[in-house]
Amino acid sequence: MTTTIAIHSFRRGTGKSTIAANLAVLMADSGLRVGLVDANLQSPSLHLFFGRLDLGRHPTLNDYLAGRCELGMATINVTSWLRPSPAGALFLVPASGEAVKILESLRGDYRAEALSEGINALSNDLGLDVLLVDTPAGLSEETLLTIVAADRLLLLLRPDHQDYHGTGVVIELARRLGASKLMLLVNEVPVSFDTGEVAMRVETGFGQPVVAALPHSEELQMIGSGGLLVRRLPDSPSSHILRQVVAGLV
Amino acid sequence: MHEQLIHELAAYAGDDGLSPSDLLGLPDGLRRIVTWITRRGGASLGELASEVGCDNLAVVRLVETMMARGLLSIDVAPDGVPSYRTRLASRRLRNRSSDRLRDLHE
Repeated sequence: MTTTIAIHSFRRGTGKSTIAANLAVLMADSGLRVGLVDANLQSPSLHLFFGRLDLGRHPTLNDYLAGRCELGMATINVTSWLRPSPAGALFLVPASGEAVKILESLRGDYRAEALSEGINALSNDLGLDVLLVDTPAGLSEETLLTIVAADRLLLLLRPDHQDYHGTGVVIELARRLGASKLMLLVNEVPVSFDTGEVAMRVETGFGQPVVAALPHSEELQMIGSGGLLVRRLPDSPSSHILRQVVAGLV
Repeated sequence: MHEQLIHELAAYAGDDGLSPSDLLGLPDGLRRIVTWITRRGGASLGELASEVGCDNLAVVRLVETMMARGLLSIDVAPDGVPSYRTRLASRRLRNRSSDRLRDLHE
């Protein structure tokens, strides 16, 4: 049985893809078979974290949604790309960085349920323990359906008023859609703030558990989407916190 | 829950499928059962009867009404066992999604 975790935020720039990529690697390190889907078709980036600037002609999620291939054909086993190799396995479903395919996704010429159908089939075919879905920021039909279909929803936010407001909106809609396991991760907490206090305030304010409050990390900013923090700096404070998050998620 | 669904269906005017944002606008009972079916990917008559809390005859009438209202569609497996799935809307409804989401907030 696969546990599907949707990773979402109301606003852009919360570090959603960075967190998704690093959590996926840590889950694979713990021996799990992990799937990682880049459903952020308007701003794809997950392949970059694994050192692939260009996917060449490899099929992507865009091609699956457009009916040009099965989702399995768009899936890349990136386990051997990781050094050191994880104890488990990691499968990436990238989204296309080609302008023409990004524009095609904006037109949305595909069935809303195609993504959830595809990831269900992929989970079974690959025997995945966990599937992480990196969703586009904000609200869309596809995101709402992903929230409905996911077993857990991890919402990212920064300590900022607009993030608080938007996160409240997503929580309200997720509750109405019956999302039962909803968790929050506060990212980019200014170093002058007490992360424990921020976590407590957010948890109290939203009535949902906060799995972590990550302080702003210069190291993470330097790496950007050019690599994986948990591989480049496995002993950094942020890497330690992300390991604790994984322990709480799986 | 069965009685609640019957009342809600009597007042429901749709007949051509749901977009994910349409789910948010359904009355409580219908929203709960339709999101439950969507999350599972589908449900048999027995599973629906158990979830709704009614007998098989009542659940047959219920799913027939839900199908007529465009909320469910039927899939028949190779072994002949029917499964009921949420009837998600075509692109025509997808194109209305932005307005619908804005309406929900306003």
